Amino acid sequence: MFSTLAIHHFWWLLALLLIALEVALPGYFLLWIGIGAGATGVLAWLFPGMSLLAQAIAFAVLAFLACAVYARVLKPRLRRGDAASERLNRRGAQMVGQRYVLIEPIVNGRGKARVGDGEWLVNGPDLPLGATVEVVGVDGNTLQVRPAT
Amino acid sequence: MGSIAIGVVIIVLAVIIIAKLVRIVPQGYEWTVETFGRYTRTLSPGLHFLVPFYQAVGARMNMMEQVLDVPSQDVITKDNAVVRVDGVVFYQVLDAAKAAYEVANLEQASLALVMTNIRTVLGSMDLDESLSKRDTINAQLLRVVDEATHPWGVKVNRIEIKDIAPPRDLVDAMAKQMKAEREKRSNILEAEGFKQAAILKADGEKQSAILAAEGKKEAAFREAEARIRLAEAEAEATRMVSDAIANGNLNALNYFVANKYVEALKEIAHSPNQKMLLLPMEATGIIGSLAGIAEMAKEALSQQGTKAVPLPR
Repeated sequence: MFSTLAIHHFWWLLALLLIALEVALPGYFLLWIGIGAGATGVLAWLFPGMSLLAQAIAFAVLAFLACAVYARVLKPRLRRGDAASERLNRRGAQMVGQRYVLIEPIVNGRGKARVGDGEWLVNGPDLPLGATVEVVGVDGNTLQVRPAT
Repeated sequence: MGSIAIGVVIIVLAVIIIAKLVRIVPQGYEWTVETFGRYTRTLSPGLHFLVPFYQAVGARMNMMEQVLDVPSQDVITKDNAVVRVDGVVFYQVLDAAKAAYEVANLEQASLALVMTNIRTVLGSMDLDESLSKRDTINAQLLRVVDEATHPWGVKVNRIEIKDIAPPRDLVDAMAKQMKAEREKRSNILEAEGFKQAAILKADGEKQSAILAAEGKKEAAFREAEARIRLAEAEAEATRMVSDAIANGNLNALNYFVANKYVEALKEIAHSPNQKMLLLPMEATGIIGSLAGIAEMAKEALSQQGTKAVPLPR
C-alpha cells in the first residue's frame, strides 16, 4: 500500500494534518507551514526527481512565502473591515467627539474634566473652570481637548 | 544520508522561525515589542508578524478593566478608634507601554498606593464621619490614586470601600448610644404631649369662662336696656296721658278712673270665695264720677244731634 504512495503524497498529508491542527488549536503559524507543505507536495509531484534536501529547502522557502503573501497582500485588506474592534478596550477612543465640563481649569495645558462620575486629565489650550470641552483625541490616559463651540 | 539530516534540520528551523514570526494578540490584550530588548511598538489585538530573533514580544498587557481586591487592614481614625477596612479597586491599563515599563509590578504598586491612601484618608476623619461619609472617602481616594497611577498609563475608574468595621465593643456602645438617644427622644415627645394637652385644656377652660362672663355681661346690658325702654315707655305714656289731660276735658280722665273703679268692683264681686264686698269710704267719689260721665254724655249728645255715638272706652 505504501509503495503506491509517492513522496508528494506525504507532503499533502502533512499539509492536511497541519491545517486540521490549525483549526483545532488557535495559533495561526501551523497554517503557513501547512500551506508550505502543500506547495512542496505540488513541486514534488511536478518534479519527481527532486532530492529530499531540495524538497526541504523548497518547503522552508514556500512556508515563508505563504507568510509574506498574507502579510503583504491579504492583511491590509482584512484590516479595513475591523474598525469596530478598534474601539474595543480603548476607553479613550470611545470618548472622542464627546463634550465634558472642566472641573479644574486648564493651566499650562493641563486640567481635569468630569467624565461620568470620574475625572480625566485633559490636555489643551488654557480654559477656565466650568468650560465645556470637546475631545479631539486621546493619548493613553490623557484626553486631547479643544474648547467646545 | 547527510542530505536527509540537513533537510530535517532545515524543516525544523523553518517551523521554529515561522512559529516566532507569527504573533496573534487576543482581544483585550496589547503586547509590547522589544527590538534587542528596547521597546519599539505596541501590538494591538490581531495577527502580527515579527522579525524573528531581531524583534521579540516583551510584556503582554491586559487592557481590560480589572478588579483588585484590597485586603482588610486596621486603620486608626482621628479619634483613635481602630477599624478594619477593605475595598475594591477597578482599574484599566490605557497605555500598555507605560504600564509595562514605568512600574515594576503594577498590581502590587497600585495596591500599596490604595492601602496607604485609605489610611491617610481615614486617619483624617472621625469614626462617625468615616462610617457615614463613604462616598466622600471613595471620591477622595479615587482622586489621589488616579493621579498617582497616571504616570503608569493606568486609569483608576473606581475605588469602593467595601466594609468599615469598628471593633465589637465599640459597635455595642454605638448601639446603646443609639437606643438611649431614641429613648430620650420618646420621653421628650411624651412630655411635650402632656404639656400640650394641659395647655389646651387650660385654654379651653379659660375660653369657656370668658364666654360665660361675656354672656352674663350681655344679658345684663340687655336687661338694663329693657328697663330703660320700659321706663321710657312709661314716661311716654304718662306724658301722653298728661298731655291729653292738659289739652282735653278733665271729665274724660274722670271717666277713665270711674271705669277702672267699677271694673275693679265687679272683679271683687265675682270672686268665688268672696261673700262679703268691702267698699272704700270714698265710694261716693265713684258715684260723683258717674255724674261726670252723665255730664260728658250729655255734652256729646248735644254736639252730635240725635246720632248715637258709642262712648269711648
